[in-house]
Amino acid sequence: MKIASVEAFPLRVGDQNQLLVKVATVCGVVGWGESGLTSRELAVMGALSDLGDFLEGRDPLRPAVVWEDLHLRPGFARDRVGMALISAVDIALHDLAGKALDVPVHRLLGGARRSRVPTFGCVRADDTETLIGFAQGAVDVGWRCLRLGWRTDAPEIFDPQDIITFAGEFLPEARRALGARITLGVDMHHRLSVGEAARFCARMPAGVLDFLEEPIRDECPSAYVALRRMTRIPLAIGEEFTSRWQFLPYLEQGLCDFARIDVCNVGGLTEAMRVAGWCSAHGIQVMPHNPLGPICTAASVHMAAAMPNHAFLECWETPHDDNAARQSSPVFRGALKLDGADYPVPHAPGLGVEIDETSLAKAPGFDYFEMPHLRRSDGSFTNW
Amino acid sequence: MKITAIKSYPVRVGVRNQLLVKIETDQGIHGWGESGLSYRELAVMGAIQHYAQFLMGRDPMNAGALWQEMYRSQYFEGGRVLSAAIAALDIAFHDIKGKALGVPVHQLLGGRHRDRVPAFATTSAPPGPAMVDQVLELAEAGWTCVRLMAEGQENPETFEPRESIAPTADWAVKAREAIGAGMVLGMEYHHRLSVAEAASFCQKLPSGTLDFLEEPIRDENPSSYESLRRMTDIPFAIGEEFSSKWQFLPYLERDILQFARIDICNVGGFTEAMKIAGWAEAHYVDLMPHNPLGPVCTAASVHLAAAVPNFSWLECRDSPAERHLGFSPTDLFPEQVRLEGANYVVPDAPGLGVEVDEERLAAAVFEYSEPPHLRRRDGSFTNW
Repeated sequence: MKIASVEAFPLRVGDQNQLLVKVATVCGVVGWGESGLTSRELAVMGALSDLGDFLEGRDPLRPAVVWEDLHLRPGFARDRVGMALISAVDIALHDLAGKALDVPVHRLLGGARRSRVPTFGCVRADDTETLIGFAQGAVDVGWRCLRLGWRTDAPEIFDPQDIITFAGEFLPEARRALGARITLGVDMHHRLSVGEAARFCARMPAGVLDFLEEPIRDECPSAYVALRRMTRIPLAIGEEFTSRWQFLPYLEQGLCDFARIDVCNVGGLTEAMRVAGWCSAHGIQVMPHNPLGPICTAASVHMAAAMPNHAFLECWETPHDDNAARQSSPVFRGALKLDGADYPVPHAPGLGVEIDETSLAKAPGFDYFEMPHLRRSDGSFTNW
Repeated sequence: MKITAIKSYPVRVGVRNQLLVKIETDQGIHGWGESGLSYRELAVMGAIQHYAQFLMGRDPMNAGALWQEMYRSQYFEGGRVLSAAIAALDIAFHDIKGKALGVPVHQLLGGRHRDRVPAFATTSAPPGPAMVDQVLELAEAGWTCVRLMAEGQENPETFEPRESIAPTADWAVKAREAIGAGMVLGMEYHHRLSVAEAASFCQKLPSGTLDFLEEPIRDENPSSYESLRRMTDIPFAIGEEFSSKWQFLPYLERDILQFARIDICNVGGFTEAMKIAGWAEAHYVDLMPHNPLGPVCTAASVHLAAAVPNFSWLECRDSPAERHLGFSPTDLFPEQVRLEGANYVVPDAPGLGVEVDEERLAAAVFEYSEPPHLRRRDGSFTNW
């Protein structure tokens, strides 16, 4: 079997662009992947163009060999754009290999270790009362792990004290309202300094928060070493990492308690399984990042099914969140369906999601889209 | 001043593509930048298209704030493609600033520390008698620092490390014997060895043979380099692949590298390079900038080299040993920084001091190219 073509399809689904990648073979079997570098899709498409016909003629049933060859190309290793492309190609090759061999993708990864993949539900609102109401609604339909947050970013100004104060208020309230059995997290989206993050943690009564996600930026692991000494709250880190090497200091120095692997950015299933293996050596659970569309969700479910150390998969399909729209488009046939707060592990060959190419041809195309460019109140730029 | 246009030109110049970026303003002043991610020019152009969406109308005089906005106002920060795009834009902003203020760029960076920027040459002949002759000829022409290339550097298909290290060590010894103790001699291995292979190579050399060893191993895990650092006394030159201060951080703070091979067209332009230079100085590390591209990269590197106290040699690919590369044609670049013997003369003209013939540039073409996909003799892929 040989690869005949690799094509990128950027399309608009819900509030974001999704970048799908199709690998076709000479014998007609195709596989689909998704690339996760939201808001920089044209760069990923440019990286595919840079490769010319490089992938044509290669054996799609050896995804790890294609992975290695791509990763050794100049500019790909440790690059976000290149790894986002490798991720999509690797997922597509697994989908293709599953279909060719008539097995679900998790079977190619060692087999399903669970029949259902538990998720954490994302719940957002801009006032405490609504937020707790939405959270209770999610608990009522089955969620046992929730990540709570604010709904709306101020259009331009971001004042860290505002979220330190707001989260400092809603989290203890939510713990009182939801009880001790619910696992509760919050995502600061790397917007705080070490000092600000320590101030937030100091306001959290012990036992309120089960995980704090990305309180600070992650390019300097020693900044996390400093923060780690200042709080006992478990840390969830890693959605931005684009290879096992970026995870390495976090795992080996004990800085990360939940690994937020993003299969569409880290380098696909091939790299994700390596990272998961090293996580298990350190007793760290995986909590996959999953903010994209049905292909990302399906790849994440197969991956989570196949690893021993899965905790909760990110899920936006909670009762009140409009980001659920990212999962619904006529382009995707057979997208995985939640049962309560779990995804049942699929048994269809490949990923189990089909792309309707007629709908794809008619779907809304790529549209420029920027994350908010946030500034501090003094006018200086800060992270989204 | 407002940005009115951003144009990318990916063009074949000599044996490589160069990606030149022109920024135009409403004051009639324009600036040139170059991006350094060779072989991934189309990916970088995709990233520049995203950045151009919000840069129109912005004031290029605020280069530092624009750097922050480009780096931080997106879903995920950092990475090679995004930093290479930011680098070209940042260099062009500085060119514009210098022209607007009527000063050379080095004056915007604190002023020049030196009038001439010493350069090192690279031998083009593989290890053998011709390589030794080139070293002698370069010494005759005034070069005081020469970098040798390891055996097998130009192999088209196969690279077997153990077959390279023995002859490379032999000919390094012969070159040292021929040239005497006065010449600074380095060796480039282009990250093709394992830790054990690199240790064996170093240990085949009598102490004093090589003054620096460039990139013996891959650099994604600083601990591997730390391990190698303990096994040899040859200084290391590392860093051409790094795309931010955070990638330099462990190498500087753990004193792994002795020469910082900063690449201004990849690391993020002047704004990022000057920060790294300051931290390198704190560790008594000299810059030895990577400069394998065209005249815009050379000019930017010369201004950077002039403006820092801690500097050793700038890479030069226009020496008598490498005239065949053709990276600096005078028809395309009528105004360039001048090479006199083995030194670049620090320019006094406003901005970078480079002029580009835009008509010729627009007529030039982009050519797909892939460096060799090297394999070991057992068929497995290894680094180029």
